[in-house]
Amino acid sequence: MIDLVDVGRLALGAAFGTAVLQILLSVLAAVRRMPELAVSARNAAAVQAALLTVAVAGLAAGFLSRDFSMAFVADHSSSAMPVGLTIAALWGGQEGSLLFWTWAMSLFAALASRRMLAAHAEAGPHGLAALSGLQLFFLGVVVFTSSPFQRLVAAPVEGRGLNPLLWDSGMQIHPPMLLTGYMSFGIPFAFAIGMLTAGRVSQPWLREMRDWMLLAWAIQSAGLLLGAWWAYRVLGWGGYWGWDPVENVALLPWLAATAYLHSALAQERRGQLRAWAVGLVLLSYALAVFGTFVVRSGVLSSVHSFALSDVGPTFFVFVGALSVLSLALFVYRLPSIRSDVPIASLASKEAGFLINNLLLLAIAAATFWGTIFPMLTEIVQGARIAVGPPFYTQVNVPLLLAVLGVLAVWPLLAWRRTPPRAVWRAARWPLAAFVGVSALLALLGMRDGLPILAIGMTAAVALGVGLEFVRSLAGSLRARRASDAQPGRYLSRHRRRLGGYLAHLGIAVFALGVIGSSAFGQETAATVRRGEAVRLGGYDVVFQGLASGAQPGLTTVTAVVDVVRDGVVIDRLTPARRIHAGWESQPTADVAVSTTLPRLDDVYVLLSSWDAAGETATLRVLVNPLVVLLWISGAVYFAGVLVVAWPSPRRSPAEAPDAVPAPAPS
Amino acid sequence: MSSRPQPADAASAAPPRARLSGKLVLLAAALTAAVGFLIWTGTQGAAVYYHTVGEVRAMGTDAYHRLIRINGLVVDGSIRASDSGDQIGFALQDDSGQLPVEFRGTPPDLFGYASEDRYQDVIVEGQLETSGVFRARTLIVKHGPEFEPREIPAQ
Repeated sequence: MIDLVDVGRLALGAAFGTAVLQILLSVLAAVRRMPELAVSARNAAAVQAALLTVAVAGLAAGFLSRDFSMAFVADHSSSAMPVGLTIAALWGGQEGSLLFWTWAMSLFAALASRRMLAAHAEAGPHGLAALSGLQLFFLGVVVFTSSPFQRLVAAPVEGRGLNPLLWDSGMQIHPPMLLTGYMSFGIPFAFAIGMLTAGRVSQPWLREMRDWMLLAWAIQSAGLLLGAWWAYRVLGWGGYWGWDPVENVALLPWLAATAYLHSALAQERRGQLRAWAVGLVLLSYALAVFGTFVVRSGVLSSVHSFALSDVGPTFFVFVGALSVLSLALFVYRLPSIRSDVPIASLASKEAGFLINNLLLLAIAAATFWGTIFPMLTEIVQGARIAVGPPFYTQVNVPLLLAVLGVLAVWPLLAWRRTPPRAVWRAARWPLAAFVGVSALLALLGMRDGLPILAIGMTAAVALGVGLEFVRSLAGSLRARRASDAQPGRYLSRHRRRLGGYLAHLGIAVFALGVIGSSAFGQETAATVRRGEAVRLGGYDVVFQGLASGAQPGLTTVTAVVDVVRDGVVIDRLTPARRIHAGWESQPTADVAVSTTLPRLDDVYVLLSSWDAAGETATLRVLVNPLVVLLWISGAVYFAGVLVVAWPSPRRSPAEAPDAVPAPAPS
Repeated sequence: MSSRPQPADAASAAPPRARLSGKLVLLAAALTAAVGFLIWTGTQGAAVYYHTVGEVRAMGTDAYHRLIRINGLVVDGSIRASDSGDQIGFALQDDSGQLPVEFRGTPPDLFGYASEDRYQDVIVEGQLETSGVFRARTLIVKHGPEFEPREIPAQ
């Protein structure tokens, strides 16, 4: 029989050797300007990806064959677990998730290294060297401090199993998505470093950098949204976002990347915000690594436990070195990459991008501060403190409202400068929507100022987006009337803009879901007899009885409840509790949710406890309005991203110069 | 930063450009100040210090009506619900002593699951009343040690 531990160690060792070779080749190629060496380095990246694939396959085979002589397999799976979950246990612990990260990175790097060399002959090897450095670091951590390929001297008969909270289908998709997201910010980062060290850049290079960032950002968006969905459906506290440090650090690189994608537009179209955009690329990766550090180092439970974790100090040094070096490089190259086209007027698209950037960075700064403040206090004063949701609500809600305001008006303005009359023409309809909807809500008896304001804002954004679509369609019709142009061409020329608007519409729908659930959610808990109801928000949740089921290692108790509104049964739900053998003190909740039409309320029911006879049960019931909009907004948003990212036909050189400035000189 | 005036082709548009760059700097400064203010007041208002039961006792009358967090164990068998059902009381214990706690509202999902000899680790946040009862406005159940970040992958 093949020894999977040996296979894994061998593959990791060979991958590490390849990574060393890869960095030597690419640095030499960059310094000595020897393109053939860069090609070898690129091939080494492909070999490294293949070797890491073997290592991951080895670990997966260990899980599938229930090889409990492997420490990682024994610690994170048991033979009671179904196959899908067993595979997912691969990222159920630190060693496995770092291996997964490194593997995903190697796949991205194998592809990115090809694109780098194609995009710029001189900057290519520099970018490749930066990429190799990142790969070498993570591979080093996997090989030397956190290898999943450890053998147990005495193999246990049965594994420990996965924490019951992770027994969920979301486990198969959410963690790998977020790990891939964190990782993928490294690719645009390597492009940025390559361009800074080489002091050379071209339009294809900048486009590649933007495309890789778009990918990283889309993956991180999906990871965040899936995390919210998982928290809501599985963790059973009725919410989807708690400003928990682990959530915050995943949001930080996303904020920086969102800012970058907007300033990249200004740099592409007008040659503006160029240095700013590069700075944001560097920042988003620094924040992504910071996030990994925070999640992986144990610094959250206490500053002191961080020193005990095996990867904490390593990551800390890496984050520090990465930030200092890239900042130094950035400052050193600043004179040569700084844009020479100033922003001419506040009433312009590019000024909107800048304002949006500043707001997003302000949100990131506040969130960063709230996350690290308890750590700082513990170090400086030795006192433990907590910074809870009130802090984030107080600081971020006004900023998010400002973002919505900018979103409603500035996209409708022209590049460069918009005359005052045109500003008025563009802004009056969103303004009217804002005033109209807010006034209507107030007339309908809504008394709380904040949701009135916020819903008015989302209406303004939605109307602005709608108007732009109408104008674009009208434009395409006009183009059809003009004899020589094709209407499809008009739309395809404006494809990225329209995709962007679709993403904005997704944000507005998302905001509506957040407002609805945070301002109008209700919650109660009650112990009821069979046939009795828990009443909340116009719904009766009638307890009909208990059922219990048992399978090896797992006992399930299910309550059957009917959701009744106005005397009509609208849904039957089966909230349950699962009690896993070995984890009795931690019965996990099977949340049952019914989304009602047309009100879009989520009736969210949890079974808290029950009596042995099955006559009474304690139910926790929440009515969360509009949460379903969050998941719908995800679909709208990704439709927009897809439209933006759809590959366009190769532009002929004659068409290319849509106001593209000359590349940065050096 | 793009907003800097550049010497190139300065002649035509220099004055308005300089004014705008000033405007942008002003805008950024105002935003920084506003966010700084929000963060400062937010940190003052929303950061809550952890204390032990012993510390709370030692503070004497100083402890009354201050927002405090205490991390401790629920004393086994001490949980009781009020007659109206909307309030629970229990005794909280740490290395330095015990404290009666009352909590109005819906206890969290996993509250009350102290199994066998294992006490439950909770965090309460609230104020000590002059009666000596700690009135919690939030009650968080901490998960067992087997539940620490090692088990929950990057979420």
